[in-house]
Amino acid sequence: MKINSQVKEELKKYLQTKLDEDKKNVEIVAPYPFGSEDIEMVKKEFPDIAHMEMHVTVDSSILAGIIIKIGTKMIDLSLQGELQSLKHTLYEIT
Amino acid sequence: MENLGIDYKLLIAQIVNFLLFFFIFKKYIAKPFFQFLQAEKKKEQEKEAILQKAAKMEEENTQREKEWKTAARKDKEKMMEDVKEQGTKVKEEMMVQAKKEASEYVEKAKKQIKEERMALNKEMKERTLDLSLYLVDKALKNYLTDDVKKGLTEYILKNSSKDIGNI
Repeated sequence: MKINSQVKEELKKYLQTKLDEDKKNVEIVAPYPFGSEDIEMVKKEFPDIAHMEMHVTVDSSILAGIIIKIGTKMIDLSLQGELQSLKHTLYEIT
Repeated sequence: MENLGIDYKLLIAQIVNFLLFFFIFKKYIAKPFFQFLQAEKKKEQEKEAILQKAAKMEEENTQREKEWKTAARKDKEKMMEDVKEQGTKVKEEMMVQAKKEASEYVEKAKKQIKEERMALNKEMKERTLDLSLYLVDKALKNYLTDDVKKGLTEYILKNSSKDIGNI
């Protein structure tokens, strides 16, 4: 299917803009309601995301730690994630 | 002669009659009659020859029939023996084949049992794991207060950030 080159360019620009917007936003999943101290702690430990806008959501099922989501990337530092990882490792061993 | 009652004329006439009869008989009756008798005799002889031939043939047929019957009986006996021998052979082959198949089935069943046992063991271990992790999860949910969570989160953040590097 042939796409018009101009349309292609416009689409590329639009998607890039969307990606850039996503990169500016960071979603943090926390096990308890985060205060400003906690956010500062996160910014201190992760200076790369300090300049980004942070949105915190509470999910008690992660038990402890946090999950950081930037665009399509996700960093799982939660206790629940560790438990799952342990489960998979034990499955492999058995 | 007349005193004896013999009539010469009658006698001569009878003799002539007789001669005439004899002559006619010999010429016209006796020959065909004898020919007829010869033909009949010949026919009788031929019939007898045919009968003898037929009797001989019948005798030969009887003999041949006897020989055939003997040969057929021998063939039959031989065939029965062959069939019996083949039957025994087939029976032995079938027994061997059946034993082989039975042992194959047994091996297959053993292998299947072993595989199923392994699968069952694996499943049991997985379920035990699941249950254990579920219990840990439940226990932690009950045990972890916000303060404990905060402390843990701080610890995780401090120890994890060094490994991640740039995002």
